[in-house]
Amino acid sequence: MSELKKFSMESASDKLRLEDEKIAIEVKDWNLYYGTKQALHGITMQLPENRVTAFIGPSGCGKSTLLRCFNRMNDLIDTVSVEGSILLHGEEMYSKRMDVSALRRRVGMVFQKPNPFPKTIFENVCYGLRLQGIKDKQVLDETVEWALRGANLWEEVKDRLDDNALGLSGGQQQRLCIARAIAIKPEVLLLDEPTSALDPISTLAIEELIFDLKKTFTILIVTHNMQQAARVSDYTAFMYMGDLVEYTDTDSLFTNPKLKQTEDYISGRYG
Amino acid sequence: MQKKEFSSHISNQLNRNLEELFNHILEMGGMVENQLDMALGALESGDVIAAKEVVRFDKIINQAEMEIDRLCIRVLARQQPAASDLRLILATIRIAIDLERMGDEVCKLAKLVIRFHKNEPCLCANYAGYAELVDITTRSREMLKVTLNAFARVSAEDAISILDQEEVVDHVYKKACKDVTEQFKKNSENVECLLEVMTALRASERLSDHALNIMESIIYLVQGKDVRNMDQERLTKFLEKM
Repeated sequence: MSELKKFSMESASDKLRLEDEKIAIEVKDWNLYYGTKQALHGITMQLPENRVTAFIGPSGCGKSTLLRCFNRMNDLIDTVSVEGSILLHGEEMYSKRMDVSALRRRVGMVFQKPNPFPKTIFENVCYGLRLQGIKDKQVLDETVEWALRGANLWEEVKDRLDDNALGLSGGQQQRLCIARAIAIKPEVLLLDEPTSALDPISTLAIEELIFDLKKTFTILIVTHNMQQAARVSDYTAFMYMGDLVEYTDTDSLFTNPKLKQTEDYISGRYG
Repeated sequence: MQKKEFSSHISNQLNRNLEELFNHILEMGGMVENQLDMALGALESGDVIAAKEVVRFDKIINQAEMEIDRLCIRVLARQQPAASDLRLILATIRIAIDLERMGDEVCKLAKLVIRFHKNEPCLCANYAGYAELVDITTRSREMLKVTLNAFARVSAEDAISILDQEEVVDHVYKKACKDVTEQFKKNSENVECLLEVMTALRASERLSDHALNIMESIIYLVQGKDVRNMDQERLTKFLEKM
């Protein structure tokens, strides 16, 4: 009977639907300009909670620019101006009252190249906690272990927490950066091409980690590797020249995209 | 969707492999068409040599299916196709399976000719259901031809034109089964031969089912929609929207 249910038509056609999701971030008519050049055109989308959403598209399509909007990293660029609205759990990210440091604690980020601080492994992970003024040794110890376990690195480094982080391999360094990002328990984790500098085995380890982390965090990932987007994400957004072209569940996008432009890109055709 | 889209990738290697897949399927389909022609000729004339050739041909068709599987595995492993390319791989594997099974069914028809020849060389055409057997086989051959052309043109519209033929085949098959059953009741001496005809009728009807499966694979390739197991009402609605 259970087998019958397993293969029934209903379960076979069961697919993720945005309308059934709790929404973590809502983007409304979002425009971004570098000086006079418009880099993002009226992006409107909802990013679901505890899911992995991948952004794909050719270089310069605006996917990293959009990702950086989610923790106001673009504020650091003088020429950038923005219009529209981005809500994090209903709260306007770009409101004047928003404390940007607090926002970045809620929205952590991991970059393309592992960038550990030239400090010990322990100090790297508890760096954010110390910034928050946490000094309690027990809290720090517990959080460091939790974050390193979460980043699937604990077993490899538990006996050398006082070693310099720069002595770790590339894959370990990137997992350390993920541990550092999750140690402050953000709501959202932004990953900007997190495996592009890693070997295939380390890449798979990070992908497996992403799968585990989505139970706790909402994950947004920018990747040039389409197969990676297909492997790790629940939803995929295809962007082209600053436009959001197609945004749907990953299964549909990679097997039967609605738009020819998406089809051409993901199947490597001349557009 | 047009066939040329499958040869417009940046990777020429992928273009070549997909082109090769198309050609392999059409070649294999051509083999089954030939085999069906030979079997039809043998059914109509009782030509045992042609019937034996049909059986021999089946081994080559089986090889063709394995070759298509090998190519599909290679493309999947090395080029990770997506979207319509991925659907082409899946459709190709399914079509190759259907063509191989058509080959098996055609063999059953040929074996009927061989067995009849041993028993009663000239009387086979007089059995109940035999004329319908030839009729269904001829229609199935036409259905195969239409679906292969539709695959070559990547056209779901062309493929669905076999639906009318399928209805006729069903009708003829039911009538033939009824006739054979009647004959069973009337004449118990020829039970063995009538059973042979019944088996062959079933095989010829299966030929049209496989052609229908190929049509479904083409719809999946073109529209990305799996129409297998759709009831008539849903299928009609879907086809109207196409």
